[in-house]
Amino acid sequence: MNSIDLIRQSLPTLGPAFALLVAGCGILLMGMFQENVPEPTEKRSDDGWAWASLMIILVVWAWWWLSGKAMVENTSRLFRADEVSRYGIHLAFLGGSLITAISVAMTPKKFASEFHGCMLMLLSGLIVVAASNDMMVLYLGLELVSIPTTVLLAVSRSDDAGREATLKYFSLSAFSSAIFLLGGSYLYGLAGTTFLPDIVEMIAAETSAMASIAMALVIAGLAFRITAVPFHFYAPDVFTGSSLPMAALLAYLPKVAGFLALVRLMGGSTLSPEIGATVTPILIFVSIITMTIGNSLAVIQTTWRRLLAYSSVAHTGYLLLGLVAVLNQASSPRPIFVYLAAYGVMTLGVFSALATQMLSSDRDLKLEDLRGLFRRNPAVGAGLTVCLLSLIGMPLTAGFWAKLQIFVFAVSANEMFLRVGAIIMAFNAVLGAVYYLSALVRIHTEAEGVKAAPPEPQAWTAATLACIACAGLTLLWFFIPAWM
Amino acid sequence: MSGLIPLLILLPFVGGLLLLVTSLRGSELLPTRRTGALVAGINFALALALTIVVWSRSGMSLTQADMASGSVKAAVLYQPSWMLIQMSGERQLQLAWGADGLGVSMVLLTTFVTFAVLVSAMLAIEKRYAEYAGWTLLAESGLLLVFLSMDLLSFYIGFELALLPLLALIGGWGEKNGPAAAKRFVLYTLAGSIPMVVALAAIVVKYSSIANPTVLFSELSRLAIAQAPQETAGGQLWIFALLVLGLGIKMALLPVHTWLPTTYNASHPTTAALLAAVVLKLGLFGFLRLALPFVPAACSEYGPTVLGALGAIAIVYGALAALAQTDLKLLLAYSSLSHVGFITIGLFALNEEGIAGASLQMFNHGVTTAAMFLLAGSLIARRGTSHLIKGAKGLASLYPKLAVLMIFFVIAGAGMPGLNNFVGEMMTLSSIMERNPVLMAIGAFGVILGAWYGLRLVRDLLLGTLEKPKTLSHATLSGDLRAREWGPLAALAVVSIFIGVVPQYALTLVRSDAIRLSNIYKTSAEAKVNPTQGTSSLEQASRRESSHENLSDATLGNPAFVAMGEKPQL
Repeated sequence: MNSIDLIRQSLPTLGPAFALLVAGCGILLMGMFQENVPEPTEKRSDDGWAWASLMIILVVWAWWWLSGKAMVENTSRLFRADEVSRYGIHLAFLGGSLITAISVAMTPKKFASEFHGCMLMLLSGLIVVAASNDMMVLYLGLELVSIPTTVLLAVSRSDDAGREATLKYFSLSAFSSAIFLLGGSYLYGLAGTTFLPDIVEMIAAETSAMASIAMALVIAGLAFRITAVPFHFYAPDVFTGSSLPMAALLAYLPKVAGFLALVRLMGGSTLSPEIGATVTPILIFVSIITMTIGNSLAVIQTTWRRLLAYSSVAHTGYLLLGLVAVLNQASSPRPIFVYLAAYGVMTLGVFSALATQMLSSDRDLKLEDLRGLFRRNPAVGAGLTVCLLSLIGMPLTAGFWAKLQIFVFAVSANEMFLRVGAIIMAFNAVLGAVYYLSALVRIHTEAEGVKAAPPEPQAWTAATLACIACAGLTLLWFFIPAWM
Repeated sequence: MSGLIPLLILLPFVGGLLLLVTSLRGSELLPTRRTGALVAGINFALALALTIVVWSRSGMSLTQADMASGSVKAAVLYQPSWMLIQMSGERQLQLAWGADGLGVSMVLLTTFVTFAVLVSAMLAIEKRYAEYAGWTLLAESGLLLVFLSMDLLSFYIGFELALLPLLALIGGWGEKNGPAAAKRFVLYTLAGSIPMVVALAAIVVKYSSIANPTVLFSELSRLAIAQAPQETAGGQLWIFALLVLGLGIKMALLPVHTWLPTTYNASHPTTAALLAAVVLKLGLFGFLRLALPFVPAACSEYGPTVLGALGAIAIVYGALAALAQTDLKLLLAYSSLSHVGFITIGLFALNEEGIAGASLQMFNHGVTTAAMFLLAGSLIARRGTSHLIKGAKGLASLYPKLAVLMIFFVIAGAGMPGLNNFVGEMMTLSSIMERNPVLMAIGAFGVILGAWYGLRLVRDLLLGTLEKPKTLSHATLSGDLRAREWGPLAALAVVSIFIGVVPQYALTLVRSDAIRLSNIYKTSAEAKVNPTQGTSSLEQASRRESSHENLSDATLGNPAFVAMGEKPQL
C-alpha cells in the first residue's frame, strides 16, 4: 500500500484535523499581510481574528457532527475512527471553542494571528492523537499539541514571568517527550511494530520485565501532560506566568491529549498479569498521591489561577483512578471521557468567569477580588456558582455524574485497592469542597462593613456567553448524561 | 392523587427561587413580606392532604404480596415514565417519588415547622425577610425531596440540595460567628455525605448491575430480600460503615456531634428551629430508608450493639451537658442530642415497636424542639441575650403567655404522660428491652435527667421574683408574645396534646411500614435458628400477618401499644 492510499483511507477520520490545519496555516499567512497595528489603545482592536477562529472551530465542528462523519467507524494502518476518537474530537472542539471565546478580549495584540493560527493547529494535533492507530502517529499528534503550546505561551506574554513560564514548559515538555519516546522504543522492540493494536496485543500477552519498564516510562512521559504528581510542579508557575487564556488551555487540552494517549495505549484490552502487577499499583499510587497533593495544596492558595492549577492536578488524580477502574473491568473508556467533558465545561466556565472580571490578562486575580460578584454581576456570578458546585460534585450538575461514574466503576470492580481508592477519592472530594466553597462564599457575600456594590450594566462579551454556556451545559448534562 | 407529590416538592422550590430573584433585584413585584409564609402555608395544607391519603391507605392490613414485595413501598407513588435519567447507551435510571407512612410523617413535620418558622420569622427577622423566606423555602424543598424520594438518586439530590440554603441561612442571619459556623456545618456534613455516595453506588452495584442499574427503592429492596440469605455482616460492613459516617454526622451521632452545638448557637433561633426539628432527622431517616433495608446483615450485627450503645450514651451525655449550660440555645442543642439518642436506640432495636416508636419520636421531637427554639427566639428578642443567668429571674410575670407555653413544652419534652414525647420515648425504651435491658436502664435514667434540666430552666428563668434586667440594649421586642409568635406555638401545642392523647392515629400511619421493615430482621433471625425447616419467608410473613391482626384488635383499648403487636403482656 502506498502512502497516497494510506492518506486517502484516513480522510474521513481526519477531515476536521485537515480543515483546522489548513485554516490555521491560512490565519498565520494572512496575519503576515496585516499591517502592523500601532500599540492598540481601543479595547476591541484585534477581536476579528478571535471571532474568525471561533467561527472556524464551530463551523468545522458542526460540519463534522451534522454530516454524519462523526459516526463513521473505520480503521486504517495509521488512523482509526472509533468511539475513542469520536469522544476525543468532540472534546477538542468543545475545549477549543471555549478557550477561543475566553481569549477574545485577551488575544495578545501584537501576535493575534499567530495566537489563533497556533490554536487551530493545536486542536488538529489533538484530533490526530485521538484518531491515531500507530505509535509514531500518536507521537506526532502529541508534538503537534505541545509545539504550538510553547509558541502560544511565548507570544501571549512577553515579560520575565512569561519567558520563565515558556522556558519551563518547553524544557519539561521536551524532557517528557523524550521519556515517552524511550518507553515507546522499548514497546517497539518488544512488539516489532509501531502498529498500536499489535502493541496492545503484546501488552496483553507479554510477561517480561522489559514490558513493565516500557509501560512505566510511557506513563511517566504522559504524566507531564496530565499534570500527575510528581510531574505537576510546573503547573501553578506556568498558569500564573502566562495569560489567562493560556492557563485555561493548559488546564484542559494537554490533559485531554494525555488521557487519549493513555487510552489508546492501554484501553481495549486487559494488561497481562505481569504488567498489571507493576503498572496498576503505580497508577493507583500516583492517582491517590496526585489527588491528595493537589487538593491539600489548593486549600492554601489565595489566587484563582494557582487554585485552579492545583484543582486541575486533583482532577487528574480522580481521572487516573477512573482509568484504572476501567482497565480493570476491560470496559469502554467512556467514564473517562465523560469526566473530561464535565471537567472541561466546569473548569473552563470558571476561567471564563475570571476573564469577564479581568482588565489585563496577565495579573492573577486574588480570591478576594471576586467578593460580592454575585450582586455586582448576577449572570456571571450565577454561572460561576454552578461551575464551582459542579467541581465539588454536587447533584444537579454534570460534575456529580462524572464523579459518580468513577465511584461506581471503582466499587464494582470487587478489588480491595480500587474500593480503598474510591473511598480516598471521596474524602478528597470533601477536601476539594473546602476551597471551592470558600470561593463560593466569597462570591456571595460582601466584605465586612462594605456596602454592596450596585449591579454593573451587563456586558455581553464572549467570555460572559462562554461562562453561561458552560453553566447551562453543566446543568443540562445532569439531566441527560447520555449527551455528555 | 399522586400529583400532590411533585406539587409539594416544586411549589416551595419555585416560590423560593422567585422570592430570591425578586429580593435580589430589589423590585416590589410581590408583596414579599407575606409571600413566603403564604407559600409555606399552602404547602402545609398540601402535606396535610397527602397525609390523610396515606393514612387512609396505610390503615389497610398488609397482604402477603406486600410482605414479599420488598421493605420499602409507597402508598402514593409518582413514577411517570419520563422521569428518568438517560445514561449512555441502553442504560437509564428510572426515578420515582412517593409517600409511605414513614416519609409522610416527616413531610408533615417539615411543612408544619417551615410554616411556623416563617410566620414567627416575620417578627423575628428584621432585615431581608424575603430573602430569608426564599432560602427557607428552598431548604424545605430539598428536605421534602429526601422524605418523598422513592429512589436513591432523588434521595441523595435532596440530601445535598437542602445543604446550600442552610449554609446561606446560618451564615447570613446568624450571630457574628455565623459564617464560620455555617462553613463548619457544611464541611462536616459533606465529609459524611460525599463518602456516602460510594456506599450508595455500592448498594446499586450490589443488588443490580452496571449494565442494567436500578435506583428504585422498591426494586432494590425486593432484590435485597431475595439476596439476603447469601449476605454476611462482614461483607456489608464497609457499606454500613460509610452509611454510618454520612448519616451519623447528619444526626450528630456521638463522636461526630461537635458541629451541632456551635451551629445551633451561631444561627438565628428560627433557623435553629428548622435545623433541630427537621434537618437533624435527615440522618435518622436515612437509616430507615437506606441502612435498614439494604444492609440488613450488618445492621443486625452491629446496629443494636454499637449504635444502640452510642444512642444510650448520647441520651445521658446530652442531658448532662445540657445541665451544665448557661446559654439557652446551647442547652436546647444538647437536649436535642439527648433526644436523638432515644430515637437511635429505638431504630436499632430493629423490631416493629422500635421502628414505629422511633418514627413517631422523630415527629414528636421535631414538634417540641421547634417550639422550644421559637420560644427561645422570642425570649432573646426581648432580653437581648440568650444567657440564662444574667438578669433573668421571674420572667413569668413579665411575659405570662411565653411562660405558659414554655412550661408546656418543657413538660412535653421531659416525657409527661398525655403529651407526645411520652409515647415515643416509652415505645423506644420498651423496644430495646428484650435486646438489651442495660440500654433501657440507661435511657430511663436519661429521662430523669431530661426532666431535671427542663425544670431547672423553668425555675431559673420563669419562676421566682422578677429582677429588673440591667440593660435591654439589644432587645428588639417588648411586651408579651404577639399573635404571630404564639399562634404557631399554640398550633404545635395542640399537635403535642393530640399525639399524646390518641397516639393510635399517628401510629396507624407508620405501622405497616414498620412491620415491613422489621420483617427483614425477623425472617433472618428465624432462618438462623431453624435453617433446616426451610419455611419460605412468604409463609412466615403470612403467619405474622395473621397474628398481628389478632393482636392489634386485642390491644385496641391500649392505644399507646397498638404497634407492639406481639407483646401484649406489656
